[in-house]
Amino acid sequence: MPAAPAALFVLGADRSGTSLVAELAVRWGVNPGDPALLGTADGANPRGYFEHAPLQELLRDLALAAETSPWDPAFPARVAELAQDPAWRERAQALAASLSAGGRPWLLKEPLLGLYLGFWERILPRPPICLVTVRNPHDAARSFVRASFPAELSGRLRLITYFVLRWQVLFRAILPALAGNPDHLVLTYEGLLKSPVEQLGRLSRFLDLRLGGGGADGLEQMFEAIDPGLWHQKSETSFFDLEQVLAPQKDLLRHLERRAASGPEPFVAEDYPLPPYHREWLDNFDTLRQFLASADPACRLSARDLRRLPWRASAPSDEAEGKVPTGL
Amino acid sequence: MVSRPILVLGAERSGVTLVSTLVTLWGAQAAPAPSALNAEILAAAGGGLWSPALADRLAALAAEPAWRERARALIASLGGEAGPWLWTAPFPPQLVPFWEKFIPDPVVVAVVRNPLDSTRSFARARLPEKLARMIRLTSYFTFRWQAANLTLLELAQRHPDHLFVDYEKILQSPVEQVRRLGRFLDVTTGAAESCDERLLPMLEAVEPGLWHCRTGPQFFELKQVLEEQKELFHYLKRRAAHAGEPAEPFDPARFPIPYYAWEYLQNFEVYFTEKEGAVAAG
Repeated sequence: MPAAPAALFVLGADRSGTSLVAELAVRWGVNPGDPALLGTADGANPRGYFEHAPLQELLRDLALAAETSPWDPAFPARVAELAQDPAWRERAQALAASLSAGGRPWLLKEPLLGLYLGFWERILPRPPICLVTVRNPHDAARSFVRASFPAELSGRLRLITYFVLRWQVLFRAILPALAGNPDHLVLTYEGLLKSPVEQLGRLSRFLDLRLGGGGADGLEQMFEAIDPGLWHQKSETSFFDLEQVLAPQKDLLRHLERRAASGPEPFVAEDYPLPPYHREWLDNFDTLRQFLASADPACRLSARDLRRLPWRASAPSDEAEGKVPTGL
Repeated sequence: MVSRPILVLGAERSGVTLVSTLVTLWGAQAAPAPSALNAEILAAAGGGLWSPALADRLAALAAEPAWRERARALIASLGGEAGPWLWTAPFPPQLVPFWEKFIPDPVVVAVVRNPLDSTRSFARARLPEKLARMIRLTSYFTFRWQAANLTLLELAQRHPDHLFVDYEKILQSPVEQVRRLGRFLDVTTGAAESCDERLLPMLEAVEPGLWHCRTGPQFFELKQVLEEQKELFHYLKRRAAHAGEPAEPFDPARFPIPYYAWEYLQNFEVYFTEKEGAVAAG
């Protein structure tokens, strides 16, 4: 019996070039699924998101079933446990089967996917091949605000600290999950746009080696996806000089940049501790965003957001915070 | 009695209203908080309460002739023969660096309450019930509480006639605490008569039944609260327990507000406070 086609995961924080890297992989030859299920391009991502809607709905439903916030450090382990439940296994395996039906390697891309790696490792017959995208979090934060809010709000919200927390939680989940998986490559968004020849060569060689095939045509197609005109939000202030960024967050970016330049190195999550307020802030942001969306047409959520965000009627489990409800 | 201003201030939902009632029953005339003018001042200073630079901006604003004239005219209208006058909530402590340029010798009464109790009270008072069930505000509100109390401690450093009062102690030991407050006001305002005759109505205003949201020592066990904030609460309790000059001087470097906290507070202001109508409707 032939081996099932390999899964390729594109990982990274929001607005960090994950869509670009997904497009590059598709141009190389990976199957992203039925184009009708990949959502629609918009002003924030004019070339499309390459996000498979059934995957996003599965992740959202898993988050609700995990009964804790995605921003709880225990979330990846909680959601991984759900892979033992036959109903979740069946749904996830059906999704994987639909994507691999054509016999080609297949793609999953979604910024929150990094929180679910433990789940997928228990579902797939072999670990996914992973492309990890890193972008200066300050630039990504600015892009996130513009992409997520109406102009009336985005001009006044300052979300650098918020976004960097989100980014830190994601990478604290992604990097330990990759420790036992040599089939991953870290790329920087800036590197792809500044040195496309070098970086696309590196990417295509990685894909050729892991997935087979590819070739000159794929590389040529990949070059056509690089449009430096889409590189917005280049900040003049260095991330490392920002006062509101914590030292462990600066260290984490240094770690990621080293891995993009020189390959794997050990990662110890405890070396990059989260500040004590992180979960409250991240949870409140999601809650307020959804609450406002229900009341203010200017803050309406996109179809993409509705697929992605777990909407709850009450605060999720509070064990990590000492069981102290602070609302009513 | 001299016409001396009394400022009764504290973090939100900390018992400021109760203490203000006691001060008016003691004999001060409550003057309406200049809310409209405060809003203008805040807008001129950058638009929000939550900035580490606010105090400096307010001090600079107070030196500008146009603002000086308006502030002086307002203060002049509040004095007179009626005795001490009182400013209290809704008066954000953070605006004091502007007003104290025009009331150089205020009597300051700072009200201290368990920040976790205040957090819960804040959520009840400000959030629709549906949202209050979904949101946690401990870290957020504790930063607000910290900013307000650091302003009050700095104010107390500049003005020797100050008293820190403990909301919980007032409700637990009203006789002792009400007498302490009354005598402090007698002395600092140069009252011709002792407050003893007014103590009974003051005591009658203290209703332990109004003491909601009691969480006890839980605040000190919370992971999302910074050690500096726990230490600040301990320090404020010690200040409120101490009579006269503080045995332990205030050192703001012991209780720094982290830089990142300002962003959290600022965003909430934009995202929640400015959209409060929409949030309530939701």
